[in-house]
Amino acid sequence: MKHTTLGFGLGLALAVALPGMPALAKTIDIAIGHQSMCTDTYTAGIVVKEKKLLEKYLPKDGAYADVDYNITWADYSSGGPITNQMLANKLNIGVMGDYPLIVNGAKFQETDSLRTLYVAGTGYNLKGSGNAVVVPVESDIYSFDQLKGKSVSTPVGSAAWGMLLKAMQDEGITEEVSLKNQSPAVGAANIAAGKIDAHSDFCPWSEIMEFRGTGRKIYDGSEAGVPYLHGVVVRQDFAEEYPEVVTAFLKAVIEAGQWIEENPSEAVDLMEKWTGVEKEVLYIYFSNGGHLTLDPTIKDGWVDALKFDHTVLVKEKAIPPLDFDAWITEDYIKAAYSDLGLDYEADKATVVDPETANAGLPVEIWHSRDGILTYESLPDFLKAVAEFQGTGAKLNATYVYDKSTGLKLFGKTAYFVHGEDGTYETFLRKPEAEAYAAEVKGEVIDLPTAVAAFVPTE
Amino acid sequence: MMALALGSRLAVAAGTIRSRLGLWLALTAGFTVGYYLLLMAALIVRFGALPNYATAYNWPKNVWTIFRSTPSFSDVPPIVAEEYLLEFGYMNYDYGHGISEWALNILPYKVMLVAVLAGLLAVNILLLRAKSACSTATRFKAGTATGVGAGFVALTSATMSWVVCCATPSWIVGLSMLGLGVSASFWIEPIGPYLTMGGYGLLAATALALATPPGTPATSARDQQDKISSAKGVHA
Repeated sequence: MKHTTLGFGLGLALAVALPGMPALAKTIDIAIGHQSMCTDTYTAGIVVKEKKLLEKYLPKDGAYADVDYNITWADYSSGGPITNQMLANKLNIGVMGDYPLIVNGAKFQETDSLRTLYVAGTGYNLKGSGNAVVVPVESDIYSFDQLKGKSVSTPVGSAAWGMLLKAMQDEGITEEVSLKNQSPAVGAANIAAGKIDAHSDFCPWSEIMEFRGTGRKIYDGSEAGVPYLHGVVVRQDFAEEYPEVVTAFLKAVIEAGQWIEENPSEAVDLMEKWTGVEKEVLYIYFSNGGHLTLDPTIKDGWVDALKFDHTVLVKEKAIPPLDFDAWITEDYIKAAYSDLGLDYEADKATVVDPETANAGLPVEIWHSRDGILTYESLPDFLKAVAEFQGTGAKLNATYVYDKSTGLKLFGKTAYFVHGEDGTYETFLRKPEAEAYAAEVKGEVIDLPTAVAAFVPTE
Repeated sequence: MMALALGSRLAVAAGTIRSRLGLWLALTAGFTVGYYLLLMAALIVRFGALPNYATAYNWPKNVWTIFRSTPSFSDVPPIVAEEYLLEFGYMNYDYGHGISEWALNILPYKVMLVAVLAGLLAVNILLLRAKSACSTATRFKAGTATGVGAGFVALTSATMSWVVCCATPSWIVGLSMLGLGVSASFWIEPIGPYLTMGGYGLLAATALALATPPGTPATSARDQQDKISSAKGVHA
């Protein structure tokens, strides 16, 4: 009886005293794998990291009141190693492109006890822009069918490789193209040196080559017609243990996207410092009318695209099966939207097609001193370029839109069509430009030629 | 009867190792280190650049993390097998803040496999040296089997990574470096484990075949016949 009373007394004393005692702080390790050389991952990677957006949204009350967070970021040049590190539980969260995402889900489902969840997108291009095939700038190849009998390099296993395979199948030249396995950096160097006929790569490599004046796009991913998207995967055990942390991460992703959309010039300036990728190249992705639509919702069309990508991978690399229903969940991104007071279903239902969304957007000049200047018409733009050149002003870049697809292009790589009636249009690819020129009884010219007509005569 | 024969052959092989333990250890270590030096040399020659970075990984800690966080024990070995200890590679700084273009990855699990290969190779060499009375044909056959077996294991144990192939170390990187097409390389990749097992099988079988207990009648008779055939110029 005495023992019972003593035990009850001790228990009561502990119950009273415990809430007042300082709890032992728990540390939650959050390790994120991202890719600073892959633009489409930035809203879940470098921007969240550098702007410390995850820290802003991490839960700090309730069950997390006494928690310390240990956040680490690891930068990779592709998605494959991120998956390996997630398997080893050295990363909880990974950001990668569509094909590596599928490999991630399939490799985890191949194990007995480990799984990942695809919890959100980062951004997309509806038609597949971001991947492209580039030839040396002096090459006489202007269309994809001219690659018959040529050597084309690509990082095998990447989204660009998937696009290339589909394009070759569509053109019926699968057997006639010699495929080489080359890294983005090696492919870009070989394009610069003219050592390879063509190189297929993911964002932003083709634009880097164009901006540096070494390469010229002959095929854009948009021609394959399969959406190009990136996303976030999380280890399921981590997501189930700390769902609020995953939601916090996705809130950070949403804010990163909003910040870029509201401040594209500032964003690309900072992202250049963070990643080393030229800001003029980044602008083609992140500006109004840029290649990338920053949207973390998971659309039905994206799931279909991922399923299609999986069939390509099964055929080419014999990867394991993937149960998409078990892998994809909207729960966390919906919770993030709800916490931020945003309408998930509205964003999910919105699909941006560059062809219509970019129609009528002003063309732009990036003046090194005055920043981005916009022009409503191509003649105004050409006149301005001519005047700036006359004053010796430094222009970082110029941007126009492809009439066929609505894609944003560097002015210096675009094909200008000067119509008989004096109008101008711009094109990504020469065959389309020539066809349009024939239609309007015009001529295909390059930017310097187009500008020359506007040089003021004294 | 067969188990007895196998046991006595294993005893002969073990005895050969014991009698030349120092040499066997030196050969095993030498082959293992030489293998990785050869891989590094191949990368340097193929890509025309010396490695410009080295990274050490906390392998024991990482393995412990995997053990702690993987519920099913059967999932642990394949994940641990992919863990790095060291990485020597070439970082290309032409783009962004640098990209690891190629690397030689030292994975303890793979090092262990290569050490087993080196040990078998060493014992075969010691057994061959001990069989100085063997016919040329027998030595040739044993040498060929050892070479083919070692070749299979060496080929499939390569842990070089290239940023292509999504930058994960794979034995087919070696094939790609030798110029084999992408599709062919991926087609061959799944047979890697079978090649490895076949290679070990050949090496082990050769060791057992060479480890004949003294006075084994069948082998002695065959050797005798081989010697006669060789003497008559049949194999000339």
